[in-house]
Amino acid sequence: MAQSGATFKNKTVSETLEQHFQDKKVTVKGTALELVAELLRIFTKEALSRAALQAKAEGDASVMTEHLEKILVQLLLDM
Amino acid sequence: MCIVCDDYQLLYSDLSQVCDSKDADSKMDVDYDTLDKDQRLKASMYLTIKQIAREVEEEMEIPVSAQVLATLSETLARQVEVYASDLEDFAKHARRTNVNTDDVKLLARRNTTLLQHWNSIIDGEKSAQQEHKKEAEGGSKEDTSS
Repeated sequence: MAQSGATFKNKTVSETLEQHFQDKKVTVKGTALELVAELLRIFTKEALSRAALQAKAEGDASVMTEHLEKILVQLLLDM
Repeated sequence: MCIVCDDYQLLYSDLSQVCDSKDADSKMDVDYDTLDKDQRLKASMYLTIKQIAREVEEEMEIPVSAQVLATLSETLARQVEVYASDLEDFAKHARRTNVNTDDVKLLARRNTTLLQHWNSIIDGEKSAQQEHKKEAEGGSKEDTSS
């Protein structure tokens, strides 16, 4: 899987997920883990890109939390 | 200055000190060990979020504030909880303890674009595996014929 750019480390993703599993025996490995890491990467990049667009549309010089807040609702509905 | 940002900056600077240190000194182990598991995971997530933010800054040609990264880290952490809960329920529903790709694909059941993207990743991996298999079989055939 060719992925140019930053990705979440597999170990970080699996350990973070396992923190929230109620049954300690549940695990995520292999391709399933890679898909989840990709999901988190897309979520992050999409959030930042949309916030950046929002900041530009408002004529602001940098991306601030107000821009992130404005796009967050639609993002959560879309994901 | 925002408390959340400070926390993340502190965590991140701990981690980047560990990563940047080139010598296999015991100091590196001490720095890393001072972070507990929770902080270590948070710092690792923050590091990747920051890397992705740098990509977006370049592509969109606009700087991203530290507050945004901190807020996004918190948001992502909450989303991970939701995904974890869903994945566990899906696996349990199929009477399994290991989460497989079918469970993960269910997360995208209302997002066809995401599902297509995932399927292209899966197909890419499958064809790579098949190529490996062919090479292995091709090698063994040569051995038997010689």
